[in-house]
Amino acid sequence: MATHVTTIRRTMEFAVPAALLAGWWFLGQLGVHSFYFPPLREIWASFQQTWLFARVGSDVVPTLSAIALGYAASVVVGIAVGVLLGLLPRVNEFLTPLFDFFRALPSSAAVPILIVLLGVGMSMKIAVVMFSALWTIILNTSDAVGSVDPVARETSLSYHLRPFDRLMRVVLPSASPQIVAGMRVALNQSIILVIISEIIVSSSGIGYFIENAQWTFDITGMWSGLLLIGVIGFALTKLFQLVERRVLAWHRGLHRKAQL
Amino acid sequence: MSETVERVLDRAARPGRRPKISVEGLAKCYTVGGSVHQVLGDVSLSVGENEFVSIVGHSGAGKTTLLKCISGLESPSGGRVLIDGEAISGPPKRLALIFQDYGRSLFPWLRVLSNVTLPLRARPDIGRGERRSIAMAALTAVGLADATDHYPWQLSGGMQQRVAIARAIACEPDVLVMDEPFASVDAQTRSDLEDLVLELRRRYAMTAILVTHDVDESVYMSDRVAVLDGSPTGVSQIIDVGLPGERDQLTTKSLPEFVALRARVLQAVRGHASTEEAEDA
Amino acid sequence: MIRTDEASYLAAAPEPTARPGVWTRSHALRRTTLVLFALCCWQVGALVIHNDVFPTVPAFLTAAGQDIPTPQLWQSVGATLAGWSLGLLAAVVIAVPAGLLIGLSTTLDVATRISISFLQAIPSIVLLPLTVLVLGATLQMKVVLVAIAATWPLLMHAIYGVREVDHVAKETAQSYHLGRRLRALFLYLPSAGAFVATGLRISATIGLMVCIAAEVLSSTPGIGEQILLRGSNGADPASAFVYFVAAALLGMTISVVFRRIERAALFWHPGQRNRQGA
Repeated sequence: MATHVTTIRRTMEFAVPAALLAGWWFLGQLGVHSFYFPPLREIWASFQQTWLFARVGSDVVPTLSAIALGYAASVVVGIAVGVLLGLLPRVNEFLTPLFDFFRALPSSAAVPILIVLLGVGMSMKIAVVMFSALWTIILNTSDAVGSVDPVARETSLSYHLRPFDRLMRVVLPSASPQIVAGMRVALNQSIILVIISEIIVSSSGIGYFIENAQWTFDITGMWSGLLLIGVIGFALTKLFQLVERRVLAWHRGLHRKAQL
Repeated sequence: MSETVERVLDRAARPGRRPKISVEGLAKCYTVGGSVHQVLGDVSLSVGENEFVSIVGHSGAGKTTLLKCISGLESPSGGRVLIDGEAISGPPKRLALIFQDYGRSLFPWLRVLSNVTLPLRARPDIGRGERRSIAMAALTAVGLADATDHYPWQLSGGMQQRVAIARAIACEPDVLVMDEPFASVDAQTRSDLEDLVLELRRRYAMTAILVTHDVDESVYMSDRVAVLDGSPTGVSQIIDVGLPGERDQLTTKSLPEFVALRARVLQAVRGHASTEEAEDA
Repeated sequence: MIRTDEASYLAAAPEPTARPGVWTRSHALRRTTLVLFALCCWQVGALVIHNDVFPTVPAFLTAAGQDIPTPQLWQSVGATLAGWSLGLLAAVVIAVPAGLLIGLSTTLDVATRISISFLQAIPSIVLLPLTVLVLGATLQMKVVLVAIAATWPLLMHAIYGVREVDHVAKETAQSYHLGRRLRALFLYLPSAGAFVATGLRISATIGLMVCIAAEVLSSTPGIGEQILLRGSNGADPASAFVYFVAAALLGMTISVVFRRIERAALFWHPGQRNRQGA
């Protein structure tokens, strides 16, 4: 009885997006389209031509590497600094408003300046990503490490755990949900900022391709790039969620219990 | 004893008058994943007007499920619940439910007075001023007349539960249903709240059903104690509490009758546990 | 049912422990020390980097002194604010009712789940070339782009807010026979409204970033355009930095304001109460 309901649900979930796509396809077939919104069939043709797999090396790889490197740098530096700050509450309290300020500022405004300072290569893209994502991770990490449940802390103290063990087995695990939350936001920021920097000035990358397509009025090409970014963004987010589900399975279970 | 005999004896306790609440052959199943889990098997119980009945049983016996069926929040898989002779479908009017988790049942974004007046807003015949005075009367009855402007979470657990009780009696219910209301409260506060409920029930002439895991409490508060047991769950025993109507924490609880009743109830509840242990051994 | 994947998306970027409005002497002292510390780092950094686009503190102050009286600075700020505010308003009008409806209806929720999940993962900035094509480098283009970018956090938070209304509270409302109007006003609005306030804060921040990005990328009038103009063409690099600081201050103001709004809407939430030591 219950499985019956879930299969209906599943089909509904997929039915609607499938119907929308089919609608777009058929509208195109019927000749209903505008210059700016070409038929799905043409976009798909352009997509196949471009991204499967002609321009993978020249554009997809640079974009993905920029995202990966920028994100990794932000995460590594951010967590390291964040943990250190979390363990030094006075310093943390002092510096947090500064990090807050940097997090609040619109990082796209920094791109022209960073371009002048660092040129148009990979190092600029990494710097741009870090300028946006680093603060998020630092703030989330330092906050999480600094506000470990006092009961957990006191338990570990009363059982005479060594400081290193306390850090690795109590503080970091209990801080991990919030750290991971920060990492998720940082992933979104990384993708956005790499695209922005590629659109402004670059000689390769998906962002560059889209911008170039716009200049040359290659509308279907532009849409194919858009589609690709959508797929990449979606895939990366889902991948992150998968890893997160594994790593934080204990937290989900605990949270679920508390809600009942 | 077979269940039919139980039911006959049950009705014999109050000859003639129709019971206020009648639970007839109640069954409830849940489907979790692919398997069907039967929580309540065949529960039958009647509660007379102005009677106080406690329902006890070991954890997992389905006390809360039974209560949810009685208060109309869940619909049974089998059997029915009658109130004043009519089968219910959905939460019945003139029945107020007090939840165990007062922190989540009281709305934290409303002040105490607003929390108590909220259910009254559902009655179009009661105007604003009257709402307020009814709520104030209820809050005074529970001793919280000067906490009206606080938010619930600014009060202690016992006081929060009092607010919940005030909210319930402001609606002037005929039936008061309580789901382990004092479980999240410390022992001293618990005795105060027990006496408060007894007093209010007497003053406002309500029928009451209390679900509790506390055996002492069940004997102290009620006229009869129903023990849920069995797999699937049914009413295994109904124990008459023949204690005098006036209950007092000190004197009543030292009466030899109280001690004996308590032992009987505990035995009935434990009866399940010891059979399980015997089977394991 | 908690969809923790979405839940954590939404709880992302939690605000660090704030001490609301407590301006004690030590607090002010700490802030001043921090500003001085930041200025020192700035000066050292500028000397190390040795590039006009990152001016030393005195060079910056000179450039600021020249730029602040000019109408251009304020016009740019106005243009950016216009695009941002109109876009955010549009997003609120679209996303909040839609989110509430979707949250309340299981059918709608299931039907739209995958589409929303996919669409919100697309970085809205990628639509810039398309919007520029269709609408040109205009205010309307900025408004549309900001609206699209700001819609998703608001939508997700509205849906989540309705879905995660405490089920004990819901049962209480049911057992007390609260009608639809009463439940909407006293149960769903405060409860979901708190989450919407958080979504609003996130949307406001994202909206500003997208607005300025649009200005940079397409030379639409606004702060972003000015930064690009003065910076990359080498015309007036220190001035570019002044505009950059203007953008930063704008961002900070918006963040502070919306955080206050969020805190006000969440005053009753246990997590919030603990932070304030209530």
